[in-house]
Formats: sequence, structure tokens, C-alpha cells
Amino acid sequence: MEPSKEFDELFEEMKDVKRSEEARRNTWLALKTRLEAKRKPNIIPAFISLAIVAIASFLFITFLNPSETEKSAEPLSNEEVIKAVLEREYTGPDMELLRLIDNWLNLQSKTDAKNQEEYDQLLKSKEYTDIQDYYQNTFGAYFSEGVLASLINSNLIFKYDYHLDNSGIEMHLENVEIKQEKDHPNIYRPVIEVSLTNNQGQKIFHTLQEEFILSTSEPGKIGSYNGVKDGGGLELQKKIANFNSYAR
Amino acid sequence: MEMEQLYREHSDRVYNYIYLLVRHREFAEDLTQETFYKAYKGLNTFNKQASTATWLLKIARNVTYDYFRRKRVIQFFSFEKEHDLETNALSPESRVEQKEQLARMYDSLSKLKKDYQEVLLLRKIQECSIQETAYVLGWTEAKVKMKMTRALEALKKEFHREGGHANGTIKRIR
Repeated sequence: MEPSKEFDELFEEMKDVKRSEEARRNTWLALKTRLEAKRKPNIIPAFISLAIVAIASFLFITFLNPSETEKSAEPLSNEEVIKAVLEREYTGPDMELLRLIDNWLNLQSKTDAKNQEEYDQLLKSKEYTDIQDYYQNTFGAYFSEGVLASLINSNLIFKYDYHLDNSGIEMHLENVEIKQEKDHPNIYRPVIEVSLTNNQGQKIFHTLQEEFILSTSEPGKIGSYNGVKDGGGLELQKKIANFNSYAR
Repeated sequence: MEMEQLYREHSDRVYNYIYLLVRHREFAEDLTQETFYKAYKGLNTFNKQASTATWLLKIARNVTYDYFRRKRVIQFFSFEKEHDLETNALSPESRVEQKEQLARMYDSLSKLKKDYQEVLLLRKIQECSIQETAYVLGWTEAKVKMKMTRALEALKKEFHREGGHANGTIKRIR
């Protein structure tokens, strides 16, 4: 039988991909929200400028205060390490990360990598290494060796910034309650409360849970960082995508 | 064209295309949204070199590639997530057989070279013309024809290969 005819029936079956009306509508609502946010003036650069001034002031004061400096040299407790990671993870969008990702994607658009070898060359570019450095500088101190790379590769770190990008929504960590497992003291399951605020000042809250397993070979470093099944991470992504539905 | 109309007319086709690449419903919805967002941003530069649908498929392909690059995933047609193969119109026996054939088809496709997968997906499932396929993939029409012939031959070989599936049987769908 001629190959093209032989598979026609199966190809025909493959055309029939089910898509629910609800999913179709939700995607449209999320898209509409993004489009409306794009049409409105972007006040995020002003926030960034203010944030830079605030951080510079904070650093200046910190360096003037020797006792604080000495204190910062002390190793962080497990709870402090976990909180530091959560503060970065649940404060967003991280505009610097998004800028670096845009640079990287722009480079890929301009450079046609025809095969894996050419793509490997792209991975040596400044645009790509800048992203890797940013990951390392942001989170490197908190994870044991190899763990961060694995989290990056599986999109388990900075996992909400892509969703927040151009959404007009800011996410903030409101509260963390870090629970240590009684029988397994290296396991911590923090209960995390975050807020989402849109550019009209509407605010919603979301509570979720994650899991941290501290390394046994490298004390004070995280050996595993996991979402908890049904912990609420996916729901948070949905709330970002469909903010208007939840804010009403 | 109004964005809502564009979405209403083309989102199912874009979704189908992306879904067959990523095999994950939520990611496919996200990437469909991203495709239309990028289309909105590029609407003014759309030069009608191709039809609107083909232009959207090209954006969808780029968006999906970005997704694969971010996830460092190369292989399309993954079997890792559940997918529902509905063949309700058939008798129970025929349905089982049809599902197995379809599973074998997905499995065979996933083992082909990526450019073979892409050309088959566009030509045979998305029903793009040779010209449209060339536009989406950035190839010449001659290359599309040549790849299509080879892809079908490779698919046939893979589909009928004995021992190509675990324990000589077709991999079951979860």
C-alpha cells in the first residue's frame, strides 16, 4: 500500500483534538487581560527606579552599620534559607530576568540555528550565559551542588515570572509559615501566602504549600525543592492568568 | 482584524497544532495564548505574504520552539502525559484495535527525525499546502516535497518495524 494512503485514516484521527469550550474561553480571557494591560501605560519602570533607589539606600545604611555587617556573615538557619528562596520566588515579575530572557529569545530569532551544533554555539553566547549567571547569583548560595541546574532545567525556579510578564500583575510574598516535619527534621513544608495586585489596585490572595529538603551532605543548603501535589501552585498560575475572574 | 475575531476563527487550529507538539493540554492553552499575544504585537508588520492561518501557525511553531528550548526538550509527541484517544463510533473490538493503531502511530512519529515529524504534522494533519508548509518551516518547496517523501517512507518503516515496541507489543496509553 502506498504510505501516504496507508496512514490517511490515522492522520484523520489525529486531527480530532478535543478542546473544551471552557479552556477556549479561559485562554481568551487571559489573552484579553494581557492585551488590555499592554494598551495601558506601563508604570513598572517607575517602580523599578524607586526600587533601585530604595535598594541603594538600604545597602548604604547596611554598610555603615558594622553590627549588621557582622550579623550577615553568620550562616543562615534552614528557615532563613527557605524564606530567602521564597521571597525571590514569590516576588515578581523579576524584570531583570525577563529582560535577559528577552535578549536571549531575540538572539534566537535573529540567529537561525539549523542543527544542534549551531544551537550549541548559541548556548555559548553572552545572552545565554547572562541568564545562567543571573540564576546562579540569585539562588546559587541556597542550593547544594547540581540542584539549581536541575531546577532551572525543569522550570521549577522563577516559575511564575513568565506568567506575570506583561500581565500588569505584581506578586508579593505576604506570609510564610515554615513547618518542619517531626519525624524527618530535614524536610520543611512551608505554607506560603502570596498576594496578586493588578495595575488598578485590585488585590487577591492565594495560599499554597511547597516542600524543601535540606541537604544532609551540605548543611544549610537545599538538596531538593518540590511543589507539593495539589499544593496550590497550578491554581496560582490560573489566578494570574484569569485575574479578573478572581478579583470580581 | 479584531483580535477576538482572529482568536475565534483560528484558535482551535493553532491549539491543535501546538497540542500535537507538546501533548499537554494546559501547556498547549498557554502557548496558544502566547501565539495570539505575539500575533497581536506583530499584527502591524504582517505583510500578507501568507494567509492569516499560516502566519499564525508559523508564530505558533516559534513560540513552541521557545518553550522547548526553555525546557531543553527536543522530542515532540511525548507520551509522558495522558492523552485521550476517542474512537467512540467503533465497536469495542475495533476501538481497541484503532487505539492501538493510533498509539503505534504516535509512537512511530515520535521516533522520526524532528523535521520529518514537522513536515508530516503540517502536511497531513494541518492540511497545509506545500507552499504553506514551506512558509511555516522556512524551507523551499522542493525541500518540503523531498522531506515529505522521505518522512512517509521513514514512518512506514518505523510503523511496521518488528520489535520496535516494548516486548513486541504496542506501548499502552496511560
